[in-house]
Amino acid sequence: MAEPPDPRAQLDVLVVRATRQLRGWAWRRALEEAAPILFPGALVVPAVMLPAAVAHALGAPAWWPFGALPSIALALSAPLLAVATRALWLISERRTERARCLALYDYRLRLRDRLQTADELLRRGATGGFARAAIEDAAAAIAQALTAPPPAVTPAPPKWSMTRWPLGAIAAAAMLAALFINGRALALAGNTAKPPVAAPAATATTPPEEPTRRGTDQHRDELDLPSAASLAAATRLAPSARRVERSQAAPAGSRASGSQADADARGGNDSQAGAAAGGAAGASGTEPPDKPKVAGDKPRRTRAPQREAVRQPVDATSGVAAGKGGSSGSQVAASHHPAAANRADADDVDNDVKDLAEEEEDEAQQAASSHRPMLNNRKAPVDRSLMPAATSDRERDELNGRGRPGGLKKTRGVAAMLLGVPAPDHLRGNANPGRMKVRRERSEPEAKHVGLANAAARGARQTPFGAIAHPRLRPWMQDMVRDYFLARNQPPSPPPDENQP
Amino acid sequence: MTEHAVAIAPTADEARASAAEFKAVCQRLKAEVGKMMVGQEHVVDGAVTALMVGGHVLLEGVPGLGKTLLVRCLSDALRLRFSRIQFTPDMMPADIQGTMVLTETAGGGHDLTFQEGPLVANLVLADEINRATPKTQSALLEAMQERQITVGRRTIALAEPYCVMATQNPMEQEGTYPLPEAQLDRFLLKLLVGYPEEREYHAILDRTTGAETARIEPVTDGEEIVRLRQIVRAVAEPEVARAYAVRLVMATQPTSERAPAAVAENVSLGASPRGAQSLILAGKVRALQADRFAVSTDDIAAMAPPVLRHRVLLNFRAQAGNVTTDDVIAEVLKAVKRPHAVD
Repeated sequence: MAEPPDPRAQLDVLVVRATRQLRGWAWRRALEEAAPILFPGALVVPAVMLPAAVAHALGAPAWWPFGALPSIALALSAPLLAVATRALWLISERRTERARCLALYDYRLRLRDRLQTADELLRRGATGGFARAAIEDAAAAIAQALTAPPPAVTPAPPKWSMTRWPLGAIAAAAMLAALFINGRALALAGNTAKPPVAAPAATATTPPEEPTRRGTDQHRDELDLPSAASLAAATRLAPSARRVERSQAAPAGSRASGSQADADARGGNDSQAGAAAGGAAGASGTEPPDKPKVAGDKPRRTRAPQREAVRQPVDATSGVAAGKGGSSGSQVAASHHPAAANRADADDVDNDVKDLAEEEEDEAQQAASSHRPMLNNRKAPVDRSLMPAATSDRERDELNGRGRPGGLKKTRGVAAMLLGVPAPDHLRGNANPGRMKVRRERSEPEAKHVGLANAAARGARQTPFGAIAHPRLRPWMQDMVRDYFLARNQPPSPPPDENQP
Repeated sequence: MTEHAVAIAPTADEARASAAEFKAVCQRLKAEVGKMMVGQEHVVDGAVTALMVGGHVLLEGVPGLGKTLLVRCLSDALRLRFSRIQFTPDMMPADIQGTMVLTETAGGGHDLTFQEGPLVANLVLADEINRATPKTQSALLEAMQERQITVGRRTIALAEPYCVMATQNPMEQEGTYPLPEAQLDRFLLKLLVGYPEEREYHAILDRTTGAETARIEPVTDGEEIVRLRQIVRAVAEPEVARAYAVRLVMATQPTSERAPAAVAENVSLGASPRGAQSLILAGKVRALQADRFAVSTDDIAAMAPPVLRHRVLLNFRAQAGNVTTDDVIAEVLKAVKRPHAVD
């Protein structure tokens, strides 16, 4: 008598068969799961290429190594590569489970999970009558599965989500923009020959689109100062060129300090003014703390023209024009004038500083008056201490009933003894209904004569019952009733007009 | 496999014999009930399933469909201690649990003795259970779950098998108190009793309007039912069936990630772990009746509607849209894939 076949071996055969069937399904599923990164992956190359193209168009050296066609090829292949990599990773992570292979037969052949159950009970080594009976019960199912053709796996059609498609459009647009900018930058580079960075004279050439500044630049060239054009060009230079530019600008600073030393040698006022000028120039435009905005770039309203006339040559011959602050100190620090003229000019500037300061204060008060009226009357709060804190008359005058800023404020009276619990000022309550008056009236009961009623003669009820309490309607019932009455109460549609064609 | 299962049927042959005996008893029981009860096979199946599992049944249907008759027939066929409680709004817990009464002793004195209520029985018919107040309904909770009742300092253990079969009428909602979720969850199955078919009407009229009355013979007794319950527990439950039951229960919970859109929109409360237990146990009975020795996902899916329909609480949107719990469970069964299934 032949031995019964080993169910484990038979199940292994089924698993091998099903694994072949499921391989294509697993790839298809991995690709479906990896597909969502297609459009984000398409953004990678344009996201790198577009900033590179923009930077190149702005003057930075081109560092994107590919041309147009290789870039397009890279942009198309990068998302596909990303999807393939993720799909490969998913495939490697998920091996086809044994239970899934057997479930394929179970569900297709309607075997009531007999194969999965038998395989699990065999692997678990389950003892017990029902487990053994279940394994033996699966023998017929295993035989049926072995003789049946391998079930074909037809995966469901892929579900394409439209949510990420805009990313593809964005990637395409970015790619086109990058290609366009790159092409234009290359065309411009072919038309215009750039001067070598290391030649400082070439960088100082005046651009043709700034003819109005030519005279000033020439004047600055005479003073051995960098022109505005050269400064503008220097901002576009490479870092190495900027270092060269800084090395050239260094003598200007040394000249400013030299002028300051020269001014120091001339005397007291001049030396102070020169120090201020040197500080302003050395700080490259940072303003000194005391009244710094006096002679700066703020337009003056009513200064005398003769003062402008006096200041004009000073501006023209100032040795610290390189300071971006352009303060009056820099003008005072001019080193090419005689000492007397310089001193007179310094006095004039001091007066000018005071006048302008007062004017600005007036302007500030007028400006603030619309928002904060009576601002001048507001003084710092004064301490409410009962102690005679004011030592002078002036301080006593300032005691306007308010505390000084800072510190804890003292309180007096009952409020200081209460707990800090907020209490409402008014308590809500019901209105008094008023007095109630009860009147009692004596009355004698009256007899009411009613005829005798014969119960048998009453008979059945002939009239309608009237209103009967309805059970509570459910929401869908209420909706139905409402829809019914709405449909019933709708006005009839007007008959078609026969006069109209 | 547990030691309990090994002790019940240590060999495959004994397991087959036990399963065959179980199936035979169930068929005899259904045949006896079928003498009086016409049609309603799924209701009879459900009642027998609950009885064999040790669960309770909630029968819902309009009056006149034989809900009370079914339970009475079952009690006659089982030779069990039967009691019937007609719930009314003025019923108190002491009316069903029992209370202390003053009795006269032999010497002429008086003594306080405990008189058991109708809840102390094997098969309890709680007729129109939703007419009782929540206070009285909650008196059933301890009996249904812990199989005991506590009155004062006295705790009475209820004899096995113990089964509560409750009925309620879905139409007459005036003056009723809907069952709380805690009590609904204690019912293994909720069975909907519908109208019979045309040919069944004829059979009903033949049996009830003639001179002859059917007589129900007892099929089994309480001891055998307790033994059959152990056979049910010994049925193998593979991982695939267990995972499917868990997925189904989780899919009824609106906050679960397995919940389909229909659940998220229409359900305010889903099934509890007790639902998963009930699915597995009811599936085991179905597997035994189908000559199988392990529960399958088909059994779980088949038992899902009666097991889950009273554990799913619909929200107002579902009520306004006339969505029923059976609709939601159908969506759940459609949405939840069986374990290891290929798309």
